[in-house]
Amino acid sequence: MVRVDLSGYGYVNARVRGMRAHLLKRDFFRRLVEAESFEAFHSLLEQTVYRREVNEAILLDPESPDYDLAFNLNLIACLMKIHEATGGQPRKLVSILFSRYDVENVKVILRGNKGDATAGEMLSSVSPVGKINLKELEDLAREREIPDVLKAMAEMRIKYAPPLADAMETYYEHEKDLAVLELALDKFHFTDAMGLLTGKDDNVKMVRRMFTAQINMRNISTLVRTRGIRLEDEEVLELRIPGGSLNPLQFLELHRLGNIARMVSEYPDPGYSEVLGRALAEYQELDVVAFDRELERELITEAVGMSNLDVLGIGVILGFIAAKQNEIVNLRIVIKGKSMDQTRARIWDDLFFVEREDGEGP
Amino acid sequence: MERVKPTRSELLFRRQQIKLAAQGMELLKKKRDALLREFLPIIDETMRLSLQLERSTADAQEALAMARAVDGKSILRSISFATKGEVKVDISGTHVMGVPIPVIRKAETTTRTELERGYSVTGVSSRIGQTASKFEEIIDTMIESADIETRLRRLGEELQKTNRRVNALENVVIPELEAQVKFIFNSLDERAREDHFRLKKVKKKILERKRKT
Repeated sequence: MVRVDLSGYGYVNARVRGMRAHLLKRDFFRRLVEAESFEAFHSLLEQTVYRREVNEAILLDPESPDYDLAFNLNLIACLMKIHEATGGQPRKLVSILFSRYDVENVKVILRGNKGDATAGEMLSSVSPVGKINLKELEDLAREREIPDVLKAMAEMRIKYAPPLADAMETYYEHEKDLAVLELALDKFHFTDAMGLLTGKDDNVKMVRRMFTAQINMRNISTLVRTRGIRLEDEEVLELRIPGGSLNPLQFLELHRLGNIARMVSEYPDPGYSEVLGRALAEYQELDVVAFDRELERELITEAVGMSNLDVLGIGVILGFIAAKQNEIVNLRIVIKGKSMDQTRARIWDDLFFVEREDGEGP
Repeated sequence: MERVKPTRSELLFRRQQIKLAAQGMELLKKKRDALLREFLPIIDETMRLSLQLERSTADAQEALAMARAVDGKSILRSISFATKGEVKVDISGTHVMGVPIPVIRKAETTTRTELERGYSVTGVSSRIGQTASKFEEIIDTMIESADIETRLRRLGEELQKTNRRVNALENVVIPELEAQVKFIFNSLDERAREDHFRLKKVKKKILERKRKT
């Protein structure tokens, strides 16, 4: 048996590059969009890495196969492969990256619990890619009250239990508003990740850059969406996720402007002027969604751009994950367009590609 | 024709009935016109709301499909657990031209801000927020539409009923009464002629008897 050194990026990046080679190209999407029928669409998908999951979905429900689940299962399998192929620092960074799935899974359990969903309903919405495994998620989903969920999380030594427990008092003060717990969870997630991403190592810096970009994206989105809502200064500051390029005062000042055009022109970080300008241009047509869309696209482009910085660095993994997630979103957009009988041009317009027109990397 | 006693009192009674029926018909016609005046603008309003509902539903469905495509079904489903809510509706009543009509009003607005939906704005994309807001607008329009459509239906039913009554009076009851009056009149006339003839005969016979004696 050959022992593979997992503490470096050589092995995992080789595997990731292998998976990257299977990413669907722009030309393939063109064929998908042009597929005349769902049968033609199926047969095209059968030529891809999604073949197994798509066929299973068709077997389970030939009339209306759950493509979303199929793509999600494929993504989970890819992420698990990456996780299993890492050790040492790569494993640590990958775990930090995947911790967002833990946060989402905990949110699913909390929301399900609040909305009286069954354990089955909750478990059908989780992606067990992070540190909280499926068995633990099953146990959490069986709890009937939110305090019981937190107690079980504490017993499992899940790191999100203490911040949630701390937020319980405010949760009760706000008439059991789940947003309080979710906000506490989001803040803890980013603060915790940023706390772990210290040092001068280039790979750590790269992951840190991604997290900073995510925090900035969320803070901008919050500002845009809460503009015009009358809030006390404390309430505004409570909505800010720390760690991004906006300090509390800047965040507060931008909220006070209450006007999107002024928010964009007075945003203090010049690195965002271009993307915010693009979003503002699309604002008339798409409303606030334009900001999330442009910021997400910027984030994907930035992550994919990291792929080529160092072949033996975390950038390859970051780039692949972003490209894979974008590919799945594109596939879902094509399915949405086809099921809604949208024109090919309209479907094509909704797609986003990071790769160049010639099909090569970013 | 129903059995009618061809008597003078019956004639007077039937004539009274015709007068009453004509008065009732006039009143009903006035009611019908008033109902129509109420009804026509409601049709326009119902059409406007129906079109608005159609458009906003298509818009919301499109937003939902986009959110489902970009954010994924799992996230949307989990958010749906958190955002369960109730729609409070006030139902009272009013009268239009004597027609009882329920008034349906939203007790409180169904449109919530991004901070009132039970999930954190920091962890959910604006696509989902926008979708939620579009569906909340639909609920508002649906309540408005339910109110106006119930009003339309009730007024429509009343209008139909009034119309049927007017038609029945105009085309059945009054013509029948008039026929009865005509029948009584003819019968009385006939009887008067017979009496006159009989009297003439009796007179003739009396005169003949007088002449013989």
